[in-house]
Amino acid sequence: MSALPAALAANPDLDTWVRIDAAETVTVFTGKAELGQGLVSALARVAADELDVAFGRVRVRTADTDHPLDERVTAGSLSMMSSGSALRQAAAEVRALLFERAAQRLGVPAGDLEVHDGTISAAGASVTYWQLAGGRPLRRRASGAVAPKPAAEHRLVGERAPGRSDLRAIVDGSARFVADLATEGMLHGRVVRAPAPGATLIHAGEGIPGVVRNGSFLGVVAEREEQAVSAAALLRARSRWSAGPPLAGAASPGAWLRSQEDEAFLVLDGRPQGPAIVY
Amino acid sequence: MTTLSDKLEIDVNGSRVLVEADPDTPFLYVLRNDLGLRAAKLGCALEQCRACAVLADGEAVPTCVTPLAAFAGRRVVTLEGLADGERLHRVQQAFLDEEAAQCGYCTAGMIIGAVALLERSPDPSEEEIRTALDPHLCRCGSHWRVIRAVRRAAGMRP
Repeated sequence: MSALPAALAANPDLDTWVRIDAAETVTVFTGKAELGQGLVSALARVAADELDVAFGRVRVRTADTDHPLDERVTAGSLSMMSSGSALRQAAAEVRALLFERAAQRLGVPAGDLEVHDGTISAAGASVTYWQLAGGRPLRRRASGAVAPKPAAEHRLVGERAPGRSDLRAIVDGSARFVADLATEGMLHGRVVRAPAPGATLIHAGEGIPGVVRNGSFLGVVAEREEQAVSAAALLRARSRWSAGPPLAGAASPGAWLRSQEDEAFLVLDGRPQGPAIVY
Repeated sequence: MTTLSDKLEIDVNGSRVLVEADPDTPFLYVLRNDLGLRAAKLGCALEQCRACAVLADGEAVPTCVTPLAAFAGRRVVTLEGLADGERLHRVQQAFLDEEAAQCGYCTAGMIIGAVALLERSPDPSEEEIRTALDPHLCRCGSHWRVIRAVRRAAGMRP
């Protein structure tokens, strides 16, 4: 038994990480978003290696509010450390669970079974992951009782190919970022930021159409983007703010940063050896 | 502010389109919002990052400040206009082969900048590539791969 990766301990239901699909594919889930860090391809490699299925069978579903897997923010180069290590452990436990079921089904000890691309076999008999669990929930919590494969047994992790699946859309211009989304009748907005953290709005500029104010939040909406841009510039010039509290350590930022509490932990073979951190 | 009575004819990606917008509108907003060409990105809005670059008569130019009127009569090509159907332009293919992007926000501008460079200098030195793409900011740090991609594209048949 070893301690579960923090994100798996926080979300221990294996069904939130791995789903054996009816369609002879495997869907894996992450609470992180693809931001070009290559998360989708990297997680697919982790899952394919750990589950012993072909890379092409793995589907990755990123952060989805309809799915009960919450990994909070995607930041700090922590996607693989956090979500990747959790998925690896979850996939190892799912593989072991499928081996248990295959052993029962085939009437042979789990240790005598072999698996190739989702087909478990022993002495001429075989059963697939999809026959065992396709389209059905696994209903098992992560236990930490199963160890993931050692790095030497990885086929895909650490290899260059296959590459990122999202790049084609990026180079041909069809990739859509949040700022590219457009809906029928959509208005355009700009926020007029406070000049300093904690500054409060004393007076919002007048005579400008489309102003939105909520306490010290100030912005503008317009039919066209360039109208929002110029209205926001006018609003900024005509509004007045209180100074706000002084910034901590403003006089000597370097010294202030060094005086803060830090988090130091050793990472060994992809696992933090020390207090777990969930991001 | 905007008067919508003005109509300007613009040549974009090989088609002539009529645009109904104030001639002073920064061209990027016209491309993205009126023409639905959203590959070029709004980054700094100060002509300092080149995420908004397009080709105008073969030259890579920013579009976030320069008004619509300045593009009338010029042949504009955006990232969407580079491929020949499903067949990518060699610079796009080279960026794909070298995985020369991380988040991809700067990529439209980078590819446009590289296409313009190879038009005027088919076999550029690394120094030339660095100089030509110097105005294109990438916060992810994809620069080394971008340089490799441009060199690879230079070695490909146009």
